[in-house]
Amino acid sequence: MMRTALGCWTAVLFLPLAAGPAAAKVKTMETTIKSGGEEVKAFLAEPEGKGPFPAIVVIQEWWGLNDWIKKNAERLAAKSYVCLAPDLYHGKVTDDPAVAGQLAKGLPHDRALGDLKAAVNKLAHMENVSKDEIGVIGWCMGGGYALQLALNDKRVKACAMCYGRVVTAADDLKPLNATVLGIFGEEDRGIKPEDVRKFEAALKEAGKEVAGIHIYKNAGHGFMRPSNGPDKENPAYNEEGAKDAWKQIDTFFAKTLKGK
Amino acid sequence: MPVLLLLLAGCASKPGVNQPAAVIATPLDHGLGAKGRGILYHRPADQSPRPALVLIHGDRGLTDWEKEQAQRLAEKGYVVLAVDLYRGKTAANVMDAHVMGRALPEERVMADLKAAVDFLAAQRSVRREAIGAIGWDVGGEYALDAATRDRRVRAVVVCYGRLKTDPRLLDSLRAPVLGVFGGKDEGISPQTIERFEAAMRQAGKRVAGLHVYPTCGHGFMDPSSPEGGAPPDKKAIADAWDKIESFLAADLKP
Repeated sequence: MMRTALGCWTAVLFLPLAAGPAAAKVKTMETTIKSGGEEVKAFLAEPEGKGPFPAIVVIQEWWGLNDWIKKNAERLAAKSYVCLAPDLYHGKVTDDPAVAGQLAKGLPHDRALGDLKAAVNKLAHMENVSKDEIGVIGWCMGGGYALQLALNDKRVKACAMCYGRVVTAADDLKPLNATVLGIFGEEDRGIKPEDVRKFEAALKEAGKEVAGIHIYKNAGHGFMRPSNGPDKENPAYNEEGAKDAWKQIDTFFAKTLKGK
Repeated sequence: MPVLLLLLAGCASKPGVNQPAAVIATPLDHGLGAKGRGILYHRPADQSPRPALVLIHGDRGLTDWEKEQAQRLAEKGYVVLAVDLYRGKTAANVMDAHVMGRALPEERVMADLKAAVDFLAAQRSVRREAIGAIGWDVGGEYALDAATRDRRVRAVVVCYGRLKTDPRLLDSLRAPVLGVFGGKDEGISPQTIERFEAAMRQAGKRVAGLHVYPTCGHGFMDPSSPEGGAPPDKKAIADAWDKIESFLAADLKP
């Protein structure tokens, strides 16, 4: 009884805040993460204030840690998450698909996963982070790694994967400790809607929490990235779909990491 | 039971000093719904059991180039099963290759490769204790992955495929590994190759050689690869083939 009353009271107290300007002031900086014997570069975007805030590991696409990924980290930080985006390529970034392909295919999975776990570790030890409220988001190659991180690190409580490689065997999903949000494009020539549905079925069979698996119409692989414009090699950008996907992502993290 | 479809000899081959290969398409049934497939290359004239290879294509799919390499190895006396992880599709460009390659569920790939080894091991023409795997690009990565999961694989050739740097992931490996890389590969750095070598050593596994060709880019063995970034280096390609054939002969032939 007490708890309910307190809950309502807290909610009322927070209401004016929510109705006011939603964006927190954000600080950004280049930082490093200790991963194995190495110092790996990373981009940190955090809300001003003492916190503790929930936190999100932000994972790059095959292009590398580029401006769009940093912008996404800042965007989420403005919603009061401490966001850390490790540079999985250790210094390389490109906008040439032929180079990106090689970078993605050459990246040792174990090294990438080690860097990502190290990112979770860094967040979990930051004073302004609430260590039981850590999530992950990634796009494209990073979408696949988001799921892999959640499968390999139980500290990850929320996993938003945007058109990343799926896992379709229920047994392989058993280690998952995170709630999953999936964002996919119906026109993705690689990850077909049928594979996405198999993924969803496998998650349910494994008894995992699924916040939603969304397959957007008229949207191809990479549809959330504005620079995948009409004159590009991959003209996948779908503004309407991207807007809705962001709405789903915001709702998802608010619910899973802030309990709202 | 896998259904075998025997196509007429010679349709995918150019006449050579050896007998033309027979080509068999085989659905690899592994109970994951969709059926895998491959093409079998061998010399029908050979009577005694021979070594065999699972041959794995890169992210552009099972293209004519991989089929030529399967043919070439069959002419050297191997029974070669060229798997088709894309089930008949090939990618038109690097963007397509990326979209298709990244989408392959790994467990399906591994099931296809296990089925490929099952298939070879069941052939009367195959020496069961002499099965190897060779792959290019993502196929090199898959060859290594398959060998860490399947102790029937006794030799692995990784041509510019993703490596592992954690020795624990190599513990289950039985096969020795030969690696071939391009010095101008944007994605596989010298440091990664060194770390792989160290991890193999730590895990107590045999590296038969890790050869880096400095003038070559990723995908250099296939002159049609859009990723080479440099004109094909015929000497390097010939040398890589020498290394591969010596390794396979030493480890798989009696």
